Amino acid sequence: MWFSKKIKHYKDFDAQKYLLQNPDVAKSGVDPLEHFVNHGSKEGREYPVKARDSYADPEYIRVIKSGFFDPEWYLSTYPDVRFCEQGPLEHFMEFGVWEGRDPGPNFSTSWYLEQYPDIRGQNPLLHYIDHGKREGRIPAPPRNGVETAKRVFESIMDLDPALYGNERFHWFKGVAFYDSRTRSTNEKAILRNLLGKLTPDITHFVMAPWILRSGADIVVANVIESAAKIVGIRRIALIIVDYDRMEGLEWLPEELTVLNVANATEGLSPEEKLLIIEKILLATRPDKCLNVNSGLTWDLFRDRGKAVSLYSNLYACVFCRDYNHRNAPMGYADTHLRDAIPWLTKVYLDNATFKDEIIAHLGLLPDEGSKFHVAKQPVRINVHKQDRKRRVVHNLGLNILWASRIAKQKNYKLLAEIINRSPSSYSFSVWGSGDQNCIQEFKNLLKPMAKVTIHGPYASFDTLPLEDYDAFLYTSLWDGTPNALLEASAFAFPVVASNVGGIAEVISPDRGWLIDDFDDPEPYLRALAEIGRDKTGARDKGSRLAEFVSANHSRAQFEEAISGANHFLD
Amino acid sequence: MTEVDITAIINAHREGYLCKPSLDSAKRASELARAQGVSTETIVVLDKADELTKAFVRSQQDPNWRIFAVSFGDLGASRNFGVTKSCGKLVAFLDADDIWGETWLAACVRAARHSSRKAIWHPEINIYFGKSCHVMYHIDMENVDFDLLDLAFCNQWTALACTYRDILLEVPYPLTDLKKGLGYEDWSWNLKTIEKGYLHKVIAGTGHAVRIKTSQPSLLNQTNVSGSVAHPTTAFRVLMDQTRPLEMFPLAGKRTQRRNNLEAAQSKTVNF
Repeated sequence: MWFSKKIKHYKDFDAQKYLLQNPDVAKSGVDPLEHFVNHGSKEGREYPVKARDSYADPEYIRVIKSGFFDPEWYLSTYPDVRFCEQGPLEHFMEFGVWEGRDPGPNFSTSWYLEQYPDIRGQNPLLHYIDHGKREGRIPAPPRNGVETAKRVFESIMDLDPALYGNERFHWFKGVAFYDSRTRSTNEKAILRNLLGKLTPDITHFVMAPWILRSGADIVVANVIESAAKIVGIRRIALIIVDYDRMEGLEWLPEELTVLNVANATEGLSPEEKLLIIEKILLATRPDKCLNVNSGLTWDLFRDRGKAVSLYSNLYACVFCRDYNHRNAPMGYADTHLRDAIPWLTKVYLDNATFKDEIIAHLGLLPDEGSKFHVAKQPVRINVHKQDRKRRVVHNLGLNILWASRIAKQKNYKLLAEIINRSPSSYSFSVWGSGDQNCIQEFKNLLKPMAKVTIHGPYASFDTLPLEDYDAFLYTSLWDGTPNALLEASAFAFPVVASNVGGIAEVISPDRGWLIDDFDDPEPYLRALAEIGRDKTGARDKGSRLAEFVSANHSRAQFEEAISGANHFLD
Repeated sequence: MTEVDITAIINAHREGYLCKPSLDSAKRASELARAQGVSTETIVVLDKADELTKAFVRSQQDPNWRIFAVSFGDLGASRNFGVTKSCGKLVAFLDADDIWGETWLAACVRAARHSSRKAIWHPEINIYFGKSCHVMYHIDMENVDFDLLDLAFCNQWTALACTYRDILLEVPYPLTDLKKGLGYEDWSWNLKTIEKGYLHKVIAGTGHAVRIKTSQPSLLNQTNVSGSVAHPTTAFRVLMDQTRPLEMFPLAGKRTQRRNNLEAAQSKTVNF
């Protein structure tokens, strides 16, 4: 019993080695450890230490990787180690470091301990590897440096009591030595890598959270297309800031410089990411920097806008307010714009309604209010496809297209209600991606016999089988000027849409059906019934709508709105 | 006025009695330089100085000194003013609560005489004293460990530098405007001089003592609190596009090429 209790103290006992060292014990067939405990130790036999698997120990690995440990140097500097059981690394880690021995020519254990008394009790080399290097501490006395410090001190110490009165200076013990280089070494490496991907020609940054295929991504594509035409593609860079997602890259010119900061800074804290973004702007100093919905860039504009605006003219887009699950306003216009506005040169919106609303809501004075400019988004629908004729004339029913994101904002609950209450002669096609929970809830809300097909995501509006549909339905709870609505308008659809945000600037009673009571399914159903009854009249409204959009949402108008003195495309 | 080898410019504000060690160190460094055949002069610029500081500086006046009272309220402007009044081929700055190592002025002149390139010289070490107690090393731009990108994160050299008067006239110190967010006149000036192609060199064996005050907020603290930045610079644009030929990146962290390119970039030579 006592032996089994005791045995745990001999974990590193190498039985094999003991038998090799003591052939008499091997011959006897006695348990080697039991022999050592009961007899060998008393007889002065050597304790055989099991060789440690040094390379599996994370601390040993860090030391090896650091390059500070030089086994040959260690053995030649400390020849006594050759007679020890341990290998040189193990000896250093177990004994040498505590005896003040150095691991190699480039690290001074005793000097480090003396200069940085705050690390007392820690392995100095491990401290340097894990913390000291990042903190700018110096691993060994700089060549001549300590002598210089001593000599300078000797020559001036009599001048000031704060010098001669400080004991530590007299011995230069416990006086920390630092170099002036940055301690943000990881951030520096990331920054260097990112800067290497840019060219000095670049003058315009477009900051985006990602590049997908949503409404804000279309704005990014529109801006880049116009900037490429006006200032040249070589002068533009798209900076992906928040999320490493680039599914919508196909919309952008191949020659465009895209800097994926989100990918490069993965794993960093938001503060560290902000530092990197700020330093990119500091180092590159683009003339113009436009934020299209990047949350981190909004943080930067809000928190560091005063400084950053010294490097570059800052611009931002806002489209509409956004709301959380408790219907509290949560969009950047509410959370960031007020604090960022002093540092912004211009703010672009896609509708005048929101411009007036947000200026009034924030109570902005005329100087700040004058920074807001409406830049109506151009319709990106392929003009040749606009000429497509509808293949089917539905005399008895209606084929209704709904194309948007299946999200709370787009009021899919109302859409389900409209579908459930609609006559059996109506059929609905629902296109668009969305959160899986929303899609499932939408499906659950539909009656079993509902005539609806849920198609899922689409690449672009003009890839949809537009010829098959008689009307376009839009049910948003809040919005700016939605791209899907503009594209449906350009296709001359009869459009039924909720009267929110900037939609009334596109849809009016003589060119569509604008639903004021936008959370009630009945007015939508009445409008759809009118389209079903009077297809000619509906087509006329659609034609007027297409003409209106063509006249008011051209690329030329968009480019004019964001060009000129102090604009993004100056 | 006759040109001298080096002008010591001491910038005073409200240092009071803390001026004494600074002025004494300037006197000592001037005496040692003169003993080695270097001609010197000293200019003290009192910028919006309080009565104690004014009175104290005048009480310590040396026949070799010129004292000017100005009302800029800006350290950069004070330094620039001192430069316009100086007669030295070289100019060295001292803030009136810091202390020069006694060999500083002589070492600067020696370094300039032995260099064919116009450079900005810094001491090898700074002894921080007062509220703090540590030593900081300056890095030489020609040291293999120098990395331009470090300057994007923090300043690399203190303001107690020495360089040619005509460099200071060409690249004056930027002014501080904390309301606008512009601060760090020394960091900004270091960047601007690099932008112009000048080298920052360290003189081995030299050092200063920099006081960290135990009371009163320093300009540096005020600048930090205000969230200000160094003046905008184009110095880092050379780090962009590393796919281009290395010779286009004189400071881009490619060590051997960088050294060669730095030397090539220093076309401005001087005869002392």
